Amino acid sequence: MDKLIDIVNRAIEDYGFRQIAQWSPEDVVEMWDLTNEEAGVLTGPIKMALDMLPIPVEPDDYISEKARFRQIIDKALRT
Amino acid sequence: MIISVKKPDLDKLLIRLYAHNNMPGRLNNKVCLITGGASGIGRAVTIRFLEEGGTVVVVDRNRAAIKETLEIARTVSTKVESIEADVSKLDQVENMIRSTVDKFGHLDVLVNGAGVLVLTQEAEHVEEREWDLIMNTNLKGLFFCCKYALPEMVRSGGGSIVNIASITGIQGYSRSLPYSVSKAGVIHLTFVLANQYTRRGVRVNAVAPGSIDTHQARGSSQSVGALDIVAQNHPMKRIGKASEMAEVILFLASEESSFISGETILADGGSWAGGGHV
Repeated sequence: MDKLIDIVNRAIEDYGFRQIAQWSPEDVVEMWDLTNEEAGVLTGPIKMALDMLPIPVEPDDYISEKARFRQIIDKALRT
Repeated sequence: MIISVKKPDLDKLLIRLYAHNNMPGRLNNKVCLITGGASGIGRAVTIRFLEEGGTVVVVDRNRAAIKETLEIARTVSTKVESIEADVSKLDQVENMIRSTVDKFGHLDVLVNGAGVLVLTQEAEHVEEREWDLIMNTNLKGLFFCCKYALPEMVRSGGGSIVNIASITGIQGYSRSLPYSVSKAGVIHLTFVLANQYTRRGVRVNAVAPGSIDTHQARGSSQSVGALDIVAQNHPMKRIGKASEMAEVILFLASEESSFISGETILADGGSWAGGGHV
C-alpha cells in the first residue's frame, strides 16, 4: 500500500516518472519490490487513471489528485 | 563560352534548380530506425524522414503513442512500421535491430531519441533506483542500440547514427543530476563511437536540444505557465519546436553532412551563448 502510494505520488508530480510507471511498469515493480497483487493494481486501475491525468498536473491539484489515487488504490486492494 | 539564355528559359531553369534543392528525397532508399519515435522530437523526426522518402521504423515503449503516430505518419507515407520495445532491455534491442534488417535487408540511419527525464533532489537525496531508471534508458539503452546497429551498418557499407543529447549534458541541470550526467555521457559516447567507426563508414553525431516544446518539457515544467517564463527569458523570446530539431537531425542523418562525424550540434536558439538557462 505505502509503496503504491509512493509511486503514484511521484507520478502525479513528475511526468517523466509517470511515463515509466505507465509504459515500463516491470521496472517499477522490480525496483519497488511490489507483490503480485500490488503489481496488478499498478498495471490495472492505476495505469488507467494515470492515462487520464493532464500534462502536467498543476501543483495546486497535487493534494486532490493524491487523495483520488489513494482511493483508487484502497478500492483495488480491497477487492 | 557564354551561353545565352532567354528570360522564360532562365525562369524555368531557376524553378527547376529551386525544385531540385527543395525536393524531398534526401532519404530515398534509406531504412531509418527511430527510438522514441512516437512522441516529441522523435515523432517530428518520423514525419520529416517520411517526407524525405525514408522508410521509417518507429520504436517506442508507449503503445498508445505509437498508434497515434502511425495514424499521422501514414497520411505522409505508407513506408512506416513500428516496433514496441524498451531500449533498456538488451534482448528487445537485439530483436528490434534483427527484425528490421531481416525485413528490409539493411539499416542506414539510427536516431536514438528514447529518453526519460525523472526529476530528482540534490545529490545526497538521489535514490539508486532514480539513477538507474534514467541511466538505463538514456545511456545504457542508447549504447545497446548503437552496439547492435553498428555491425549491420558496417556490413551494408555504412550509415549514420544521430544521438539526441541535451543542453543539460553541457551546462548541467540541477533538477535532475542523473539526467544531466546521462546526456553528458551521450555526448561523450558519440565522440568515442565516431573515433571507432567513422573509418568503417558510419558517421556518429549528436544533437543537444535546448528547451523544446514537447509533452516531456511541459510535463517536467510542473506548471502550464512555466514554459512561458522560460520563453520570456530566452534570447529568441520563445522555446524551440520539435520540427526544428527534426531539421537538424535530418541534416546529420543525410548525405548533406557527409563530412561530419563525432560532432554535437547545440540547437538551443542561442540560449547557452546568451548565458540563459534551460
